[in-house]
Amino acid sequence: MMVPDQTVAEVAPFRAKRAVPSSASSTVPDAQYWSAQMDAVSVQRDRASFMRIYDHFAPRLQRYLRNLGVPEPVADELVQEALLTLWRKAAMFDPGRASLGTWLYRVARNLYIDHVRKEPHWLPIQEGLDRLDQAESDRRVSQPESFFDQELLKQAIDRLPPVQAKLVRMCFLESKSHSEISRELDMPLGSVKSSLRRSFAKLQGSMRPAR
Amino acid sequence: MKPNHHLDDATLISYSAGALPSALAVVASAHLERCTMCRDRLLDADQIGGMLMQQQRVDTPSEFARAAMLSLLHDEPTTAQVVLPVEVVEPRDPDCLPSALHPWFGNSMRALRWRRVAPGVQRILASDITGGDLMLLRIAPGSKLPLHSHRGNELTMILDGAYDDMLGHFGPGDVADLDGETLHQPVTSPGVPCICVAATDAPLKFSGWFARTLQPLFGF
Repeated sequence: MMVPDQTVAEVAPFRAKRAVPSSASSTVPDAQYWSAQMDAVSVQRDRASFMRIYDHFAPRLQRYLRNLGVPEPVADELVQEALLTLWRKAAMFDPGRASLGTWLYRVARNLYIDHVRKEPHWLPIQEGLDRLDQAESDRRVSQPESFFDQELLKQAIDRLPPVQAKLVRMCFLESKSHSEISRELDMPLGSVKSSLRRSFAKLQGSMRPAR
Repeated sequence: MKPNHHLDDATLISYSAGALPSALAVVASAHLERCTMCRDRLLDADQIGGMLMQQQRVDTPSEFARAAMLSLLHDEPTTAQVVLPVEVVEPRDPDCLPSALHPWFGNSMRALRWRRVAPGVQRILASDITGGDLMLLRIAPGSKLPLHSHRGNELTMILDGAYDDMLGHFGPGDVADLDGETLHQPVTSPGVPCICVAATDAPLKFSGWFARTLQPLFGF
Protein backbone atom coordinates (compact mmCIF):
# COMPACT_ATOMS: atom_id res chain seq x y z
CA MET A 1 0.00 0.00 0.00
CA MET A 2 1.21 3.49 -0.78
CA VAL A 3 1.21 6.27 1.73
CA PRO A 4 0.03 9.51 0.12
CA ASP A 5 2.87 11.95 -0.21
CA GLN A 6 1.70 15.33 1.01
CA THR A 7 4.60 17.27 -0.51
CA VAL A 8 4.21 16.44 -4.18
CA ALA A 9 1.12 18.48 -4.85
CA GLU A 10 2.83 21.82 -4.30
CA VAL A 11 5.10 21.30 -7.33
CA ALA A 12 3.15 23.38 -9.82
CA PRO A 13 4.56 26.78 -8.81
CA PHE A 14 2.45 29.19 -10.82
CA ARG A 15 -0.70 27.42 -9.74
CA ALA A 16 0.32 27.49 -6.10
CA LYS A 17 -1.48 30.74 -5.36
CA ARG A 18 -4.71 29.40 -6.74
CA ALA A 19 -4.44 26.29 -4.55
CA VAL A 20 -5.33 28.36 -1.49
CA PRO A 21 -9.11 28.51 -1.12
CA SER A 22 -9.98 32.13 -1.88
CA SER A 23 -12.66 32.38 0.76
CA ALA A 24 -11.02 31.72 4.13
CA SER A 25 -14.32 31.32 5.96
CA SER A 26 -15.50 28.56 3.64
CA THR A 27 -14.87 24.99 4.79
CA VAL A 28 -15.49 23.61 1.30
CA PRO A 29 -12.58 24.19 -1.06
CA ASP A 30 -13.52 26.22 -4.11
CA ALA A 31 -13.31 25.60 -7.83
CA GLN A 32 -9.80 27.06 -8.15
CA TYR A 33 -8.52 24.75 -5.45
CA TRP A 34 -9.87 21.66 -7.23
CA SER A 35 -8.64 22.94 -10.56
CA ALA A 36 -5.10 23.14 -9.11
CA GLN A 37 -5.39 19.59 -7.74
CA MET A 38 -6.55 18.37 -11.14
CA ASP A 39 -3.63 20.11 -12.77
CA ALA A 40 -1.23 18.25 -10.48
CA VAL A 41 -2.99 14.98 -11.27
CA SER A 42 -2.89 15.44 -15.03
CA VAL A 43 0.57 16.98 -15.38
CA GLN A 44 2.57 15.41 -12.52
CA ARG A 45 0.39 12.29 -12.06
CA ASP A 46 0.39 13.32 -8.42
CA ARG A 47 -1.21 10.76 -6.11
CA ALA A 48 -1.43 13.08 -3.11
CA SER A 49 -3.57 15.54 -5.07
CA PHE A 50 -5.61 12.63 -6.36
CA MET A 51 -6.26 11.41 -2.82
CA ARG A 52 -7.34 14.91 -1.75
CA ILE A 53 -9.94 14.74 -4.51
CA TYR A 54 -10.83 11.21 -3.45
CA ASP A 55 -11.24 12.08 0.24
CA HIS A 56 -13.68 14.87 -0.58
CA PHE A 57 -15.64 13.41 -3.46
CA ALA A 58 -15.67 9.62 -3.00
CA PRO A 59 -18.01 9.60 0.04
CA ARG A 60 -20.30 12.14 -1.67
CA LEU A 61 -20.50 10.14 -4.88
CA GLN A 62 -21.13 7.04 -2.80
CA ARG A 63 -24.00 8.74 -0.98
CA TYR A 64 -25.39 10.00 -4.28
CA LEU A 65 -25.43 6.49 -5.79
CA ARG A 66 -26.86 4.92 -2.62
CA ASN A 67 -29.68 7.51 -2.73
CA LEU A 68 -30.46 6.38 -6.27
CA GLY A 69 -31.04 2.91 -4.84
CA VAL A 70 -27.73 1.39 -5.93
CA PRO A 71 -26.73 -1.49 -3.59
CA GLU A 72 -23.68 -0.71 -1.46
CA PRO A 73 -21.12 -3.04 -3.11
CA VAL A 74 -22.12 -1.79 -6.58
CA ALA A 75 -22.00 1.83 -5.41
CA ASP A 76 -18.49 1.27 -4.01
CA GLU A 77 -17.37 -0.17 -7.33
CA LEU A 78 -18.87 2.67 -9.33
CA VAL A 79 -17.20 5.25 -7.09
CA GLN A 80 -13.82 3.60 -7.72
CA GLU A 81 -14.63 3.48 -11.43
CA ALA A 82 -15.54 7.19 -11.41
CA LEU A 83 -12.29 8.14 -9.66
CA LEU A 84 -10.24 5.92 -12.00
CA THR A 85 -11.90 7.72 -14.90
CA LEU A 86 -10.74 10.98 -13.31
CA TRP A 87 -7.18 9.62 -13.03
CA ARG A 88 -7.17 8.50 -16.66
CA LYS A 89 -8.92 11.46 -18.20
CA ALA A 90 -7.63 14.25 -15.95
CA ALA A 91 -6.17 16.06 -18.94
CA MET A 92 -9.64 16.39 -20.45
CA PHE A 93 -10.97 18.29 -17.46
CA ASP A 94 -11.63 21.91 -18.44
CA PRO A 95 -11.98 24.07 -15.31
CA GLY A 96 -13.21 27.00 -17.39
CA ARG A 97 -16.26 25.00 -18.39
CA ALA A 98 -17.46 23.05 -15.35
CA SER A 99 -16.50 22.60 -11.73
CA LEU A 100 -14.86 19.35 -10.68
CA GLY A 101 -17.99 18.47 -8.68
CA THR A 102 -20.05 18.84 -11.85
CA TRP A 103 -17.61 16.78 -13.87
CA LEU A 104 -17.69 13.95 -11.34
CA TYR A 105 -21.47 14.20 -11.02
CA ARG A 106 -21.73 13.61 -14.78
CA VAL A 107 -19.29 10.70 -14.67
CA ALA A 108 -21.17 9.03 -11.78
CA ARG A 109 -24.59 9.63 -13.35
CA ASN A 110 -23.41 8.16 -16.66
CA LEU A 111 -21.98 5.08 -14.90
CA TYR A 112 -25.28 4.69 -13.05
CA ILE A 113 -27.39 4.86 -16.22
CA ASP A 114 -25.00 2.50 -18.03
CA HIS A 115 -24.26 -0.08 -15.31
CA VAL A 116 -27.35 -0.02 -13.12
CA ARG A 117 -30.18 1.03 -15.42
CA LYS A 118 -28.49 -0.81 -18.29
CA GLU A 119 -29.24 1.66 -21.05
CA PRO A 120 -26.52 0.82 -23.57
CA HIS A 121 -27.02 3.89 -25.76
CA TRP A 122 -26.65 6.57 -23.08
CA LEU A 123 -22.87 6.49 -22.70
CA PRO A 124 -21.92 6.81 -26.39
CA ILE A 125 -24.43 9.65 -26.77
CA GLN A 126 -22.96 11.52 -23.80
CA GLU A 127 -19.44 11.01 -25.15
CA GLY A 128 -20.61 12.44 -28.46
CA LEU A 129 -22.10 15.50 -26.74
CA ASP A 130 -18.83 15.94 -24.79
CA ARG A 131 -16.86 15.94 -28.02
CA LEU A 132 -19.18 18.57 -29.49
CA ASP A 133 -18.72 20.71 -26.35
CA GLN A 134 -14.97 20.32 -26.55
CA ALA A 135 -14.91 21.33 -30.20
CA GLU A 136 -17.11 24.28 -29.29
CA SER A 137 -14.95 25.49 -26.39
CA ASP A 138 -11.82 25.12 -28.56
CA ARG A 139 -13.44 27.56 -30.95
CA ARG A 140 -14.28 30.02 -28.20
CA VAL A 141 -11.60 32.13 -26.55
CA SER A 142 -10.43 30.42 -23.37
CA GLN A 143 -11.83 32.17 -20.33
CA PRO A 144 -10.04 31.14 -17.14
CA GLU A 145 -11.99 33.79 -15.25
CA SER A 146 -15.26 32.11 -16.11
CA PHE A 147 -15.24 30.29 -12.76
CA PHE A 148 -18.56 31.16 -11.26
CA ASP A 149 -18.83 31.51 -7.54
CA GLN A 150 -19.89 28.10 -6.24
CA GLU A 151 -20.80 29.79 -2.98
CA LEU A 152 -23.53 31.83 -4.71
CA LEU A 153 -25.09 28.69 -6.16
CA LYS A 154 -24.95 27.00 -2.76
CA GLN A 155 -26.69 29.98 -1.16
CA ALA A 156 -29.31 30.05 -3.91
CA ILE A 157 -30.06 26.36 -3.28
CA ASP A 158 -30.40 27.03 0.44
CA ARG A 159 -32.78 29.92 -0.27
CA LEU A 160 -35.23 27.88 -2.37
CA PRO A 161 -38.71 27.70 -0.85
CA PRO A 162 -39.29 24.29 0.82
CA VAL A 163 -41.49 22.81 -1.93
CA GLN A 164 -39.12 23.84 -4.73
CA ALA A 165 -36.15 22.53 -2.74
CA LYS A 166 -37.92 19.21 -2.27
CA LEU A 167 -38.78 18.86 -5.97
CA VAL A 168 -35.25 19.74 -7.06
CA ARG A 169 -33.79 17.15 -4.68
CA MET A 170 -36.30 14.46 -5.74
CA CYS A 171 -35.32 15.11 -9.32
CA PHE A 172 -31.51 15.30 -9.01
CA LEU A 173 -30.83 13.13 -5.98
CA GLU A 174 -33.51 10.46 -6.42
CA SER A 175 -33.71 10.61 -10.23
CA LYS A 176 -37.51 10.70 -10.18
CA SER A 177 -39.43 11.63 -13.33
CA HIS A 178 -42.00 14.44 -13.33
CA SER A 179 -44.82 11.87 -13.32
CA GLU A 180 -43.31 9.98 -10.39
CA ILE A 181 -42.94 13.19 -8.40
CA SER A 182 -46.49 14.19 -9.31
CA ARG A 183 -47.87 10.84 -8.08
CA GLU A 184 -45.76 10.71 -4.95
CA LEU A 185 -46.60 14.22 -3.77
CA ASP A 186 -50.15 14.16 -5.14
CA MET A 187 -49.36 17.33 -7.05
CA PRO A 188 -50.61 18.11 -10.60
CA LEU A 189 -48.00 17.37 -13.29
CA GLY A 190 -48.19 20.98 -14.50
CA SER A 191 -47.37 22.29 -11.02
CA VAL A 192 -44.39 19.95 -10.72
CA LYS A 193 -43.02 21.29 -13.98
CA SER A 194 -43.66 24.96 -13.29
CA SER A 195 -42.12 24.63 -9.84
CA LEU A 196 -39.00 23.02 -11.33
CA ARG A 197 -38.84 25.78 -13.95
CA ARG A 198 -38.97 28.48 -11.29
CA SER A 199 -36.25 26.77 -9.25
CA PHE A 200 -34.06 26.42 -12.32
CA ALA A 201 -34.46 30.10 -13.21
CA LYS A 202 -33.42 31.15 -9.69
CA LEU A 203 -30.42 28.83 -9.53
CA GLN A 204 -29.33 29.73 -13.04
CA GLY A 205 -29.53 33.39 -12.08
CA SER A 206 -27.06 32.77 -9.26
CA MET A 207 -24.56 31.27 -11.70
CA ARG A 208 -24.94 33.78 -14.48
CA PRO A 209 -25.90 37.11 -12.98
CA ALA A 210 -25.07 38.84 -16.28
CA ARG A 211 -27.89 37.09 -18.17
CA MET B 1 -29.01 26.70 -38.83
CA LYS B 2 -29.81 27.35 -35.20
CA PRO B 3 -33.01 25.93 -33.73
CA ASN B 4 -35.65 28.42 -32.55
CA HIS B 5 -37.70 26.14 -30.30
CA HIS B 6 -35.91 24.51 -27.41
CA LEU B 7 -36.18 22.01 -24.59
CA ASP B 8 -38.24 23.10 -21.60
CA ASP B 9 -36.24 23.88 -18.43
CA ALA B 10 -38.09 21.12 -16.56
CA THR B 11 -37.13 18.64 -19.31
CA LEU B 12 -33.47 19.69 -19.17
CA ILE B 13 -33.34 19.29 -15.39
CA SER B 14 -34.76 15.76 -15.71
CA TYR B 15 -32.31 14.94 -18.48
CA SER B 16 -29.41 16.05 -16.31
CA ALA B 17 -30.75 14.03 -13.39
CA GLY B 18 -31.09 10.90 -15.54
CA ALA B 19 -34.80 11.07 -14.73
CA LEU B 20 -36.29 11.56 -18.18
CA PRO B 21 -38.18 8.48 -19.50
CA SER B 22 -35.84 6.94 -22.07
CA ALA B 23 -37.96 7.60 -25.18
CA LEU B 24 -38.06 11.32 -24.31
CA ALA B 25 -34.32 11.25 -23.54
CA VAL B 26 -33.60 9.99 -27.08
CA VAL B 27 -35.38 12.99 -28.63
CA ALA B 28 -33.77 15.38 -26.11
CA SER B 29 -30.33 13.97 -27.03
CA ALA B 30 -31.05 14.43 -30.74
CA HIS B 31 -31.87 18.10 -30.14
CA LEU B 32 -28.86 18.61 -27.84
CA GLU B 33 -26.60 17.35 -30.65
CA ARG B 34 -27.77 20.21 -32.81
CA CYS B 35 -28.25 22.97 -30.24
CA THR B 36 -25.32 24.67 -28.49
CA MET B 37 -27.68 26.83 -26.46
CA CYS B 38 -29.44 23.83 -24.91
CA ARG B 39 -26.07 22.18 -24.22
CA ASP B 40 -25.05 25.30 -22.30
CA ARG B 41 -28.30 25.21 -20.34
CA LEU B 42 -27.76 21.51 -19.68
CA LEU B 43 -24.39 22.40 -18.20
CA ASP B 44 -26.16 24.78 -15.81
CA ALA B 45 -28.43 21.92 -14.75
CA ASP B 46 -25.39 19.66 -14.31
CA GLN B 47 -23.75 22.33 -12.12
CA ILE B 48 -26.84 22.24 -9.89
CA GLY B 49 -26.67 18.43 -9.74
CA GLY B 50 -22.96 18.61 -8.95
CA MET B 51 -23.56 21.07 -6.15
CA LEU B 52 -26.41 19.02 -4.64
CA MET B 53 -24.17 15.95 -4.77
CA GLN B 54 -21.44 17.88 -2.92
CA GLN B 55 -23.79 19.36 -0.33
CA GLN B 56 -24.68 15.95 1.10
CA ARG B 57 -23.43 15.24 4.61
CA VAL B 58 -20.93 12.38 4.61
CA ASP B 59 -18.23 10.74 6.70
CA THR B 60 -14.57 10.66 5.73
CA PRO B 61 -13.58 7.55 3.79
CA SER B 62 -12.24 4.58 5.74
CA GLU B 63 -8.54 3.66 5.59
CA PHE B 64 -9.65 0.41 4.01
CA ALA B 65 -11.42 2.22 1.16
CA ARG B 66 -8.47 4.60 0.65
CA ALA B 67 -6.05 1.66 0.52
CA ALA B 68 -8.26 -0.09 -2.03
CA MET B 69 -8.32 3.01 -4.22
CA LEU B 70 -4.55 3.45 -4.01
CA SER B 71 -3.94 -0.16 -4.96
CA LEU B 72 -6.16 0.28 -8.03
CA LEU B 73 -4.13 3.35 -8.92
CA HIS B 74 -0.95 1.33 -8.48
CA ASP B 75 -2.08 -0.97 -11.31
CA GLU B 76 -2.64 1.94 -13.68
CA PRO B 77 0.00 2.79 -16.29
CA THR B 78 2.27 5.53 -14.93
CA THR B 79 2.22 7.72 -17.98
CA ALA B 80 -0.81 9.84 -18.62
CA GLN B 81 -3.16 8.41 -21.17
CA VAL B 82 -2.72 9.96 -24.56
CA VAL B 83 -5.69 12.18 -25.16
CA LEU B 84 -6.92 11.76 -28.69
CA PRO B 85 -7.50 14.93 -30.64
CA VAL B 86 -11.10 15.98 -30.90
CA GLU B 87 -12.73 14.54 -33.97
CA VAL B 88 -13.42 17.12 -36.56
CA VAL B 89 -17.12 17.71 -36.67
CA GLU B 90 -18.11 16.89 -40.21
CA PRO B 91 -20.30 19.30 -42.10
CA ARG B 92 -23.70 17.80 -41.63
CA ASP B 93 -24.88 15.36 -44.26
CA PRO B 94 -28.58 16.20 -44.73
CA ASP B 95 -29.34 12.49 -45.14
CA CYS B 96 -27.78 11.58 -41.79
CA LEU B 97 -30.12 11.25 -38.81
CA PRO B 98 -28.92 12.61 -35.43
CA SER B 99 -26.68 9.95 -33.86
CA ALA B 100 -29.00 9.54 -30.86
CA LEU B 101 -31.51 8.02 -33.30
CA HIS B 102 -29.11 5.55 -34.96
CA PRO B 103 -29.70 2.69 -32.50
CA TRP B 104 -33.43 2.89 -33.19
CA PHE B 105 -33.78 3.89 -36.83
CA GLY B 106 -30.36 3.51 -38.49
CA ASN B 107 -28.47 6.52 -39.78
CA SER B 108 -29.88 7.28 -43.21
CA MET B 109 -33.06 9.24 -43.78
CA ARG B 110 -33.32 7.89 -47.36
CA ALA B 111 -33.03 4.26 -46.19
CA LEU B 112 -36.00 4.50 -43.81
CA ARG B 113 -38.78 2.02 -44.50
CA TRP B 114 -42.00 3.89 -43.90
CA ARG B 115 -45.38 2.33 -43.24
CA ARG B 116 -48.46 4.17 -44.28
CA VAL B 117 -50.92 4.52 -41.39
CA ALA B 118 -53.35 7.07 -42.84
CA PRO B 119 -53.67 9.14 -46.04
CA GLY B 120 -50.60 11.38 -46.15
CA VAL B 121 -49.16 9.97 -42.94
CA GLN B 122 -46.37 7.41 -42.60
CA ARG B 123 -44.74 6.13 -39.49
CA ILE B 124 -41.95 3.94 -38.10
CA LEU B 125 -42.23 2.73 -34.51
CA ALA B 126 -39.06 2.04 -32.54
CA SER B 127 -39.21 -1.46 -31.15
CA ASP B 128 -37.83 -2.62 -27.82
CA ILE B 129 -37.73 0.80 -26.22
CA THR B 130 -38.76 0.82 -22.60
CA GLY B 131 -39.99 3.95 -20.87
CA GLY B 132 -42.42 5.37 -23.41
CA ASP B 133 -43.00 5.26 -27.18
CA LEU B 134 -40.62 6.51 -29.84
CA MET B 135 -41.57 6.96 -33.50
CA LEU B 136 -40.68 8.68 -36.73
CA LEU B 137 -43.49 10.41 -38.59
CA ARG B 138 -43.64 11.59 -42.18
CA ILE B 139 -46.54 13.86 -42.94
CA ALA B 140 -47.36 15.05 -46.45
CA PRO B 141 -46.74 18.73 -47.21
CA GLY B 142 -49.67 21.06 -46.66
CA SER B 143 -51.57 18.72 -44.30
CA LYS B 144 -53.70 20.05 -41.51
CA LEU B 145 -53.86 17.85 -38.44
CA PRO B 146 -56.97 17.95 -36.26
CA LEU B 147 -56.96 20.14 -33.15
CA HIS B 148 -55.71 18.03 -30.28
CA SER B 149 -54.11 18.09 -26.87
CA HIS B 150 -51.67 15.64 -25.34
CA ARG B 151 -51.86 13.15 -22.56
CA GLY B 152 -48.70 13.05 -20.44
CA ASN B 153 -45.49 14.46 -21.86
CA GLU B 154 -44.54 14.55 -25.48
CA LEU B 155 -41.37 15.67 -27.18
CA THR B 156 -41.17 16.11 -30.97
CA MET B 157 -38.19 17.19 -33.03
CA ILE B 158 -38.38 18.23 -36.67
CA LEU B 159 -35.82 16.49 -38.87
CA ASP B 160 -36.93 17.78 -42.26
CA GLY B 161 -39.68 19.99 -43.61
CA ALA B 162 -41.68 22.16 -41.23
CA TYR B 163 -45.02 22.83 -39.62
CA ASP B 164 -46.83 25.77 -38.06
CA ASP B 165 -49.16 25.92 -35.11
CA MET B 166 -50.18 28.57 -32.58
CA LEU B 167 -46.80 28.10 -30.85
CA GLY B 168 -44.99 29.20 -33.99
CA HIS B 169 -43.05 27.85 -36.95
CA PHE B 170 -41.17 24.60 -36.36
CA GLY B 171 -38.32 23.76 -38.73
CA PRO B 172 -35.40 21.29 -38.72
CA GLY B 173 -33.77 21.04 -35.28
CA ASP B 174 -36.71 22.63 -33.45
CA VAL B 175 -38.39 20.74 -30.63
CA ALA B 176 -41.97 20.98 -29.42
CA ASP B 177 -41.86 20.15 -25.72
CA LEU B 178 -45.52 19.73 -24.82
CA ASP B 179 -47.58 18.51 -21.92
CA GLY B 180 -51.26 17.78 -21.43
CA GLU B 181 -52.18 21.42 -21.18
CA THR B 182 -51.28 22.38 -24.74
CA LEU B 183 -53.97 22.32 -27.40
CA HIS B 184 -52.63 22.67 -30.92
CA GLN B 185 -53.29 22.08 -34.59
CA PRO B 186 -50.13 21.67 -36.67
CA VAL B 187 -50.23 22.48 -40.39
CA THR B 188 -47.29 21.13 -42.38
CA SER B 189 -45.54 23.52 -44.74
CA PRO B 190 -45.88 23.15 -48.51
CA GLY B 191 -42.99 21.65 -50.52
CA VAL B 192 -41.41 18.71 -48.73
CA PRO B 193 -42.95 16.24 -46.27
CA CYS B 194 -42.51 17.04 -42.61
CA ILE B 195 -40.36 14.35 -40.99
CA CYS B 196 -40.13 14.34 -37.24
CA VAL B 197 -39.21 12.10 -34.34
CA ALA B 198 -41.74 11.99 -31.52
CA ALA B 199 -41.58 10.46 -28.07
CA THR B 200 -44.20 10.12 -25.40
CA ASP B 201 -43.93 8.83 -21.86
CA ALA B 202 -47.35 7.21 -22.07
CA PRO B 203 -46.74 3.56 -21.24
CA LEU B 204 -49.08 1.92 -23.78
CA LYS B 205 -48.60 1.54 -27.51
CA PHE B 206 -51.09 3.49 -29.59
CA SER B 207 -51.97 5.73 -26.69
CA GLY B 208 -50.00 8.71 -28.01
CA TRP B 209 -51.57 11.79 -29.52
CA PHE B 210 -50.98 10.45 -32.97
CA ALA B 211 -53.35 7.50 -32.67
CA ARG B 212 -55.93 9.47 -30.71
CA THR B 213 -55.77 12.27 -33.21
CA LEU B 214 -56.27 10.16 -36.25
CA GLN B 215 -58.54 7.57 -34.72
CA PRO B 216 -61.79 9.48 -35.24
CA LEU B 217 -60.76 10.53 -38.74
CA PHE B 218 -59.30 7.41 -40.17
CA GLY B 219 -60.70 4.80 -37.85
CA PHE B 220 -57.54 2.90 -36.91
